[in-house]
Amino acid sequence: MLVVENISLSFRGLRALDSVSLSVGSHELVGIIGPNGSGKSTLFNVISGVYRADSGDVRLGGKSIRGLGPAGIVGLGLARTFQNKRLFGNMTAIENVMVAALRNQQGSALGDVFGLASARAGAESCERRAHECLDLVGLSDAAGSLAHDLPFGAQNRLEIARALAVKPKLLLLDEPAAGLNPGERDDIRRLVETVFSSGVSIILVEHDVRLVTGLCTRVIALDHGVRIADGAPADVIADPRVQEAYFGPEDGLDAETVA
Amino acid sequence: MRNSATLLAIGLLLVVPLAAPPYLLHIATFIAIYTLPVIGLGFLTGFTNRISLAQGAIFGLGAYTTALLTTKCGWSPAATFIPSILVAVVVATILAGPAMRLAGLYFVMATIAIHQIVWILLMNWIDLTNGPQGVRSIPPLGIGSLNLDSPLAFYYAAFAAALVSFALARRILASRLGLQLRALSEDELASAMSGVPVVRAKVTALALSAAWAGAGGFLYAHYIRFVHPDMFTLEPSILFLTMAMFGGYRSLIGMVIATAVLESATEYLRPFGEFRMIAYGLILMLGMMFFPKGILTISPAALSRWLAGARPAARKA
Repeated sequence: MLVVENISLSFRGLRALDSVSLSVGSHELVGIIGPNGSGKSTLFNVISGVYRADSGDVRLGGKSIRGLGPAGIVGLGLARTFQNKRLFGNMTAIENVMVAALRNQQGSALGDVFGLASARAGAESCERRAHECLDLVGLSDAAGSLAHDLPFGAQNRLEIARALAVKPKLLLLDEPAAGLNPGERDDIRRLVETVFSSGVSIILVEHDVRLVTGLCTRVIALDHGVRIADGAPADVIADPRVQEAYFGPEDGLDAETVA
Repeated sequence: MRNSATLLAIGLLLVVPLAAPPYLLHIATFIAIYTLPVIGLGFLTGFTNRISLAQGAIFGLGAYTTALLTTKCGWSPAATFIPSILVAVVVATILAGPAMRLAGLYFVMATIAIHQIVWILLMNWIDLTNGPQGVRSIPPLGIGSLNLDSPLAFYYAAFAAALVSFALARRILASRLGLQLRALSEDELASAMSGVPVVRAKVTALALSAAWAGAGGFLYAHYIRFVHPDMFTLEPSILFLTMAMFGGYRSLIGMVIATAVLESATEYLRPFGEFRMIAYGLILMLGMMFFPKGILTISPAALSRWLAGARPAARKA
């Protein structure tokens, strides 16, 4: 599904990613953990085409993303959410999702303007798809609310609904539970499970190690732009290098406390 | 309620001119003509956040296309309507399309350069455009055997054109393209990640703005019946931009009202000569600084918040 090969990226001499390689198979739920500044979000930005890597290659479904912008990469079956939510604030929840559901809809813009039947059918199927996505994340009741009026937790879920509307094969979730209370975290956990069981591969970046280890079958740890561990959640947490990255060289905690 | 208000307004605009003095009719005709390039700017500035000072030049391209086709090639005026729009769209897309990569002041500067390119071509490509002599004796607009050479008849034609262009713009904004444009204006990266073809949507907005300007130029040429390069200097560009900004680039009705108010003001302030352009410059500058989304779009609530000294909520990055 996704193959990342020796990706390196520097910002003004600062190595944000250093020869990072990883792969995610079809229908896998992989977590990425690491302390602040370890390169998690940078990696997402490279995979989704926001940043261009200095060297290395990213392949999605066998095709290199080289030369493709974000919109082209979405065409290869990728969708993502943003850590600092980027909703269309002055548009309603349903409109936010409809924008993404427009992809691959039939009927041209001119057809819309002149009310052609083919265009109407396309618009209707797009709206239906958008409602399905809102249902899935539990926001049907908020369809008509402006995105920036929604509570924080609902905004997170709306971002996920919008990402799902492009019908991705691989979904990148960038800290979907950041800033949420325990109840909302449980909602997000259930939502991720539901999405995963519908056949979408997921990469989850999250600070909440407990959420990651509870959900993911595999965890990758980054530190200072280097992949330091990759494997089963318990093994990765127990890895001395991961312990060191989180807690410093000597003062390590045992895996039980972290998990 | 809203519908009946609209019908009442349209009715008044149809009936009142019958009894209006010629000067008022003249102003009303200009308002109808200018509505088109101003609505056009709304597509570009309202949805791609790019401010253009070349709208007057694109408007001029529409005017020159019909002027030359009717006087030099003997086309009937009505037949040049589509070509006028096409020339405006094609030239604007070729010249300004690459500039759509730029943003902010850089885009504005690029549009000033485009404006100069068009003006220099009109002035110096004498074989084609007659250069500084301009194009005289442009025939009046006619539909079949009906000649619209009376001011009243032309007013109705221009009014109908403004009305149709307004309705068309509304439908476009309500369409899926409009949805994409609105998303684009909110957050370009999030739009791209939602599968919006960002470059295509931006160039489409540019092409639409040029189409509306070209149609406006077509009307203008057949109303004045004479075109000259100096009619399409930066001055109309600034005027159109001020009107669009005053009305709020994303509010069609706001832009129409602003066009009416500012065009009337322009005419009645004519005794003050060039000083009125200073006033426009000031409106434009202050508006851009304090009300980047348009002056007429300020809601009463936002206004009272602002007066109370609280800064309006900053836009999320």
